[in-house]
Amino acid sequence: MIKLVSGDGAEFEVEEEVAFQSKIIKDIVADADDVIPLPTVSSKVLIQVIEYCRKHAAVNSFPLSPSSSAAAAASSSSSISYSKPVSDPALRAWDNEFVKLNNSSLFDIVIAANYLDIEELVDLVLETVADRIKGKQAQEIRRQFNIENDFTPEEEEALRRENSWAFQNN
Amino acid sequence: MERPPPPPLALSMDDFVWIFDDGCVRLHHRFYCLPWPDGEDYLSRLPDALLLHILSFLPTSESVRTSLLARRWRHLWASVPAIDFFFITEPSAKKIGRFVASRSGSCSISRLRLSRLALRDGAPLCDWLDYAKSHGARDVALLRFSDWEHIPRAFDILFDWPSLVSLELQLVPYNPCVFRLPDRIVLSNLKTLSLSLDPSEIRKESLARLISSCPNLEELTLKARYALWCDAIEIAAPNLLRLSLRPAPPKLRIICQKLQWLKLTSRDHVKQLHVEAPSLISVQLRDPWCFGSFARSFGNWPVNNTISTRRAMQRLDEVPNAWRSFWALEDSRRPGIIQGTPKGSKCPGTIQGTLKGLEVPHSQNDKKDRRAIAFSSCGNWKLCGSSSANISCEKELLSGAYYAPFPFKG
Repeated sequence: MIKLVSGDGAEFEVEEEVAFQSKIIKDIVADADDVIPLPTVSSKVLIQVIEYCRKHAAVNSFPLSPSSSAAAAASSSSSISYSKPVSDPALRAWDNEFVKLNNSSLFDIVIAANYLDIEELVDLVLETVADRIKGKQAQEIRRQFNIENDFTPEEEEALRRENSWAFQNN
Repeated sequence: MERPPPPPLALSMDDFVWIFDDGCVRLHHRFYCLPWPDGEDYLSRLPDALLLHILSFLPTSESVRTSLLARRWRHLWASVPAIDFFFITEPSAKKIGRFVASRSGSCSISRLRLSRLALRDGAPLCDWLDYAKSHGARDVALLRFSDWEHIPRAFDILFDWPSLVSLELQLVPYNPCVFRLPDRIVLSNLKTLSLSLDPSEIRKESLARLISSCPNLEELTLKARYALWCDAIEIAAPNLLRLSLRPAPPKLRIICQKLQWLKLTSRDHVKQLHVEAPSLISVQLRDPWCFGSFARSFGNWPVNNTISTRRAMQRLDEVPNAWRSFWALEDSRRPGIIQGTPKGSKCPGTIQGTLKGLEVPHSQNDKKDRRAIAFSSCGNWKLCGSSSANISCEKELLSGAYYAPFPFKG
């Protein structure tokens, strides 16, 4: 067992194979002890990250039948899946449920996952964010993510002209 | 700054957002797209590396459009490590040229993805491939590539690319022909290869040469046709983990020591099949009766077998009971798909063995079929997805068997 200590002092005991989903923890454990302080990760976020790691550790240690391509295509939320290893459709469905969070929780998770170096989780969350950007106009994206437009209307127009090819449909 | 309204309790169509993407239309619930009402811009606070990672999931023209969001975003698109365009004809080819020219020159590319390629003049395509190669691209996908026969140089570039890790090629020929590989093939780091040539043909020698030129290949998906009279197609790859042949050639030898999962489909009976793969953990066959004794022999193997079928399960008696999971999702127009009397069982529609997964097609509304499935499994099994809400199992059909009404979760 490995003990993880969140930034607000809460302690979490997790099995090795769960904690080792994080490459950083794997490296730390290799040459230090089993109590790992994670000062930048709050316990709320850590609980979610551990939940993810626990699920993926359980599935990865027991190889399931690969999805048929039809099932994979249906459950995949993105068109970019060609380079990913074949995964279990049930796990994908679980992942899709896992990321049904509001934007700020997602960003907390991705910052923690990036810090802990859990590549799959970073990919999952960032792809979800990309899905929320996809197909939308700039104004809609700004509203959704609270992005403040700091361009003057003239600058915006000039930028639009500069990359006009990307704004045309054909 | 104006705050967005709270998520509504009752749903209406206005709560959903249509997302258009690469020819697909998807519906997203607006709630999940709403910002956290504290007005913070969490997104722009992410480090550049993560923002670029996000942008790399978008089609290129959309990632360029994010330059309008705010100053923070203005120049990001020029460093996105991906080129992703679709529907590429002569006029839109100029766009890609513009994009490539205005990228920051020193930034590497990890992925090149071009779909629906239809170019008469292959020169720009070769330029992009050269550009991607010189910028270290590791994943390349050319999808729905028509008129490819006129651009042989593109294949010279593609198949001589030592740093390539993943290659996906989907060729749509004007006339079905024999796919010819270039003379020089160097793909020493390739791990994933997906080659879709159907209805074109691949020759035995070409395939052997291709596989032997990819010593690190881990995943191979091949959709092609094979000459009827040819000798057995041999797939011998020492590092291959996953193999999918759709369809399998009429005569096939697989010699892969590390192979873990195998998926084969066939339109017709496979005349000769030799599999030497001691590491197999999963076998998926569509229409297993095409594979004769090979399919039957798997009953005794400690692997996760999967049947997926387009034909009715009345043929289930041809399949050993130890097959563990059933995927009957291919043809939803056949409501009888999960009916049948498997060997050794008395009541219709009982599937024996330790069932692990079952997928039921959508349109199982016929009353007759409501009693179609029963499970006599006490092992580990689950039902996966699909809207099979109208199917239920009748109690009296099952004596002492585990059963569950649909829909079933978990």
